Amino acid sequence: MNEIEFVKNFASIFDEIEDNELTMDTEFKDIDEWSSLTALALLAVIDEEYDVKLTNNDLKNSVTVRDIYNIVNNHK
Amino acid sequence: MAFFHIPDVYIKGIAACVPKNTVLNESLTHIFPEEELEKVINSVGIKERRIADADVTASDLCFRAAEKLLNDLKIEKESIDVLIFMSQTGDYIIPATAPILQYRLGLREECACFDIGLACSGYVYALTTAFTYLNLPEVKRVLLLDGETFSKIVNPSDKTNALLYGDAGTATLLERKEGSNFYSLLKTDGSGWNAVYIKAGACRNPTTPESFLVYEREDGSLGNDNQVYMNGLDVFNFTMRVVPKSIKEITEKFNFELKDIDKIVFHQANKFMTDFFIKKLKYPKEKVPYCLDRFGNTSSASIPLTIVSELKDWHEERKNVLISGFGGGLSWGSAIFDLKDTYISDLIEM
Repeated sequence: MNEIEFVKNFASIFDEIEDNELTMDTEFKDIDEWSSLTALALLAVIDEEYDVKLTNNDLKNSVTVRDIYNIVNNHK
Repeated sequence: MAFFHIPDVYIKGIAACVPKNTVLNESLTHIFPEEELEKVINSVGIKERRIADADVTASDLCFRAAEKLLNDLKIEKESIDVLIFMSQTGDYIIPATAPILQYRLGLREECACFDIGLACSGYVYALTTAFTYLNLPEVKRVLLLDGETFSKIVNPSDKTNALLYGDAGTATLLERKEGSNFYSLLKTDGSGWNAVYIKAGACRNPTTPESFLVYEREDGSLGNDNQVYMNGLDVFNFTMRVVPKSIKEITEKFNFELKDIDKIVFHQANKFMTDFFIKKLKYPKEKVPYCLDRFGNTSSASIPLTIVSELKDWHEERKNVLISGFGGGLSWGSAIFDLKDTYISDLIEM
């Protein structure tokens, strides 16, 4: 799984964040725009791009973009 | 067996009734900051909802819809053999609401009346049940009343639910008709029973003074234990897993291709969600009617309400419709039938 692609896909759920503003170490819940709706969008984009269905617990236990990356990687 | 094929039956008519009182979602500035509110409204796709007055219940809305339908079709009330009331917001805990509706509608004593209680998948389940009765030689007409007033069980400050739900009542009349088929697929995953639920007020956790205390739930939403709670992310995770798949399953099982389906009527849950399903299915979005912008999520009533509000002026030779309901339980179902000979009443308000 390509990390750069992953960050780009992750960034696509935000309107006000450019791809290059997000890194694997970004603590995504601190982003102003993070909300229950962007969370739904994240579930949708991860399902579409990687065919993995994230759960509420996956999100609860994750802090950084890398945490989500690792969950997706382990499912694949 | 989760697949059902019921031959020689059809929907003779459908009617729906919504409350007159309209609530605009843009007025919910006490729950969301203005900028966020606009985003939420655009994403969820619900601009306004109809909310029943304090003294109006789902059965009242269904009663009006039933009177309208039976009058429009000039159906004698003595001819109804079975009455089913599908709702989770009935009039009382005891008795069931169907007998109350039988009395109000003036149906005869020789009419089997009972309730079905399911969440947003309820119409698909109840329709399958109703059609199953038509297989019995003694049964010629079944009246299915599906209505909900979730406005009565949602905390008005609940971020997850307050802008979603609207109230509606519907009536569907079923009869036999040679050569007309009904297909359905009904499924359940009870391990997720607490993804959408009201904790208190029934027998597991009786109502207590404490059950009326409002508190912040894990997801930041507000409510008490007598009001509905929904784990939005788990519900979305569930629907992503099952909804597109169940549509593929039912079409494959009964030898339909998606191009044979002239409309897909989804439970009107949330536009973000259903748009996602359409994209996954690669189904043309112009063939997917919506009424949730004006009526919100009316739980199990949303499929018949969409048929009445969006498909009344649909004129085609063939009208193969696939309906898909999904939600609390966790429970989901899909069905395929032809609407070509179905009468659709004008939407009424009360």
